Amino acid sequence: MASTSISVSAAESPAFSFSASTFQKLHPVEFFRKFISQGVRPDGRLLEGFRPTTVHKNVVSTANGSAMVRIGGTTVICGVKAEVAEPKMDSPNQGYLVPNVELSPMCSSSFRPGPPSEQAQAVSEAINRVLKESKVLDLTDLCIEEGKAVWALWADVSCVSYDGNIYDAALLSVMTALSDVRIRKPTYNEGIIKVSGAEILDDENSFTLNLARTPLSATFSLFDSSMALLADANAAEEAICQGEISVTLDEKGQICALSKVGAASSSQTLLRQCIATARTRTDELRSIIRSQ
Amino acid sequence: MARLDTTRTSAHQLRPFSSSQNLLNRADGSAQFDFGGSSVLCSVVGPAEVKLRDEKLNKATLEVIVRPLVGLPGVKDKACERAIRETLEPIVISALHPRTLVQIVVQTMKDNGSILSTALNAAIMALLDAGIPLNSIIGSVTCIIDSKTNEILLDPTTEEIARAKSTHVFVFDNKSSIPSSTSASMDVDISNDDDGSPRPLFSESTGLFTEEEYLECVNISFKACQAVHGFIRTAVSKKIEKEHQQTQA
Amino acid sequence: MDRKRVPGPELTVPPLVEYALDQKRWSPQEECRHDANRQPEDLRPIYLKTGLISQASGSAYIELEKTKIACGVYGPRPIKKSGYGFSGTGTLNCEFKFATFACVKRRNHIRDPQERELSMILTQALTPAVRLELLPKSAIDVYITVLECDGLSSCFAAAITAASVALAHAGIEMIDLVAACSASYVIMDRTLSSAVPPPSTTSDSAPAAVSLRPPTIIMDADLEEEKFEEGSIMVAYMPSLNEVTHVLQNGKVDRSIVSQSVEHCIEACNKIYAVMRHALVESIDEKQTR
Repeated sequence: MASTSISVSAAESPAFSFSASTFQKLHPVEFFRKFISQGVRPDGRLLEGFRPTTVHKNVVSTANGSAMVRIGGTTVICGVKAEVAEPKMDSPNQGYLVPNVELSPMCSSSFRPGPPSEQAQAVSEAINRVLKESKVLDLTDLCIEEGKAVWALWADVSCVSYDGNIYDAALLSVMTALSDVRIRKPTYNEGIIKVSGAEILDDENSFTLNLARTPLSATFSLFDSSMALLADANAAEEAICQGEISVTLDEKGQICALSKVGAASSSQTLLRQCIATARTRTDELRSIIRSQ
Repeated sequence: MARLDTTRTSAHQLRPFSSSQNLLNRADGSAQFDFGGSSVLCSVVGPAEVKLRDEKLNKATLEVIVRPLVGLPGVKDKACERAIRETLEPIVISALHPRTLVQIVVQTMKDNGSILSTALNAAIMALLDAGIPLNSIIGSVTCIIDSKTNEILLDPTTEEIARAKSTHVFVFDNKSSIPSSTSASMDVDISNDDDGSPRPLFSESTGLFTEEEYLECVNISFKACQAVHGFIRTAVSKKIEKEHQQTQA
Repeated sequence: MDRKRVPGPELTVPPLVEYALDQKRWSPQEECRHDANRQPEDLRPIYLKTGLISQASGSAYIELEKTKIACGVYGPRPIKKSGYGFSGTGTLNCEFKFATFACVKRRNHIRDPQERELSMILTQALTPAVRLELLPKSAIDVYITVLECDGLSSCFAAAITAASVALAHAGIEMIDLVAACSASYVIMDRTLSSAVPPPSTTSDSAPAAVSLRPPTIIMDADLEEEKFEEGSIMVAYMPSLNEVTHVLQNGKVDRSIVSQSVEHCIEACNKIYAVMRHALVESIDEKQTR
């Protein structure tokens, strides 16, 4: 790509040309628009093309459940750790499921050290809402002794490499890690919770989570006033897009969350198109998880 | 079918809304918007000096701060801030005030459901009051699908939200009938034609629902939003008339 | 309370683990190491790869069986903070962080004192190798995330190795790579194949509290072995210059054992150096084929 050159010449002005990469640096939006008008993207994808995605389960043995997800250049690892906590007063038999996404300065130069950025908080909250509102896990399953002790599941997502579309990657990793969770069966005796230290875990000495559904998502970015839909935008594309449509679906095709933020108003045809594409994409993701 | 909120008789009835502008004399603009028992006060300062870090060379920086009813702001409020900011960014003609800051502070006064919608309506009225250039006016409503009756209820109360199967927040602007902008430079209109249907500017839905249910919510909310638009228009024109009379006197 | 994250319970504790009486668990009384196939001087196989983080100037990922570490390098970039004034040389900032799920007990998102100390040591171990004098007014940021930790000092040594490879991958001028390796002193019931000489009798220190047996030097100990260690040592070393940049030693052992274990570590560092070189050559090959 770097060797090709684009000549920017209006009919009357003297022609001048420079390399494509220089053009991209000078006018990122115009550079991008040239591609979009031809129906392709700088990385060679079609507008509705998603990046290659891989999912690996059980990658961290210190966690009760874990998953590594790669969507193109974005890599996230989710580790779910089960620890014991006191239940809330008003829900004595309910455990906790706490998802958090960490966008450390390691994964991209656009993140600063310190407390989580607005973006990290918004993604964490979005995942938290999906888990809660679409009733993914019955929290009473996490009860050890009513009013005394429950399991708290910390589902922490650590972003290793950031290249856009963190919501899809993080949700996919959280759901895969939750399906991978295995917790040793606890015994409660006068305030002390013990688990067996057996090396091999089976259904006799441990349990898995009973997930009611597996919501997975597809995110589209909206470019320009023309509202061109770009599936699974990378970091460079995200930076020049004004809006986003994100559709989260469960395995039965029910919508678990849908959000449209920013850019101009979108027609229902566009929304329908997003839902339809999201349907094929999440089906594809499900078969990737299953093949694991 | 009776609603949990017994003050209303129909599912598509909004609570009485009211507003007052220019409440705070130290801010450039302010407004309070009430949806029945929910009330949000919003102030706008700007265009003002911007921190070097946030400065944008070609447009104004929009900053939204959300303050909850009790306690300190948490992740939920941050997510709200982001939603409000990203909705207002395309509405404010920010290119007219480059390298400045427009700060919007949203304070919940009373919470009885539909808070995000109330906040968005308060924010647009405060922006109008501050005289910030806008390219359109937005109106927002919330609706839910009841888990027992499967009915779409508009403008739900906290009690009704607790029983909801899904919750939907919508924003519509008042130029919905105008076809999507015809960018002269490019002819890249990719299947985003105007189909004449209601066009949500912002939509946030959680819970469990089908595509048909969602699109029905869009249509019902769109009609309700017309009432909000009308209300904002009347409120603003009344205020301007009053100010005009005062200056005449 | 942390308001910038989804709130969970204030306090959570890992459950107590109860082992069955007849359960076989490794202890130094056994004849072999925790991994029976390893001799005391054997390292775990190393997997080292560069270019994992697409947005970073340079990056490296290292895996020692269960231990997994990712490292990203950004820079050199201008120092943004104004208060620093002019600096004739560049600065190297290292940030070392465990992922919350990396250890047996859950770690907090906020850096704890241990992580802060390790960050500082990391800076000290790497700085001698980097030609900071060529980079006035700039900063290089090295971020390390431990995804899984199986043995603390070996994990830290691996972090240094990965960081120096990531620096090289970022194209930052260095006088040499820094390889690091750790060793633990474990009193084994039966002396393993590599015999350790008896503690030097010439030592004029008080003979009080002498342990019955001399400890065995176990290279690259994992978490199980670390539980029984008397102490440990970590050596950061520049192989082609034959210079040590950092030594971190703890625990009470005879000085002859310390000097011997430094030798062992340096030997191991030379082996690690070959792996590092291989990873870097591979990254250049990849660039060329692209």
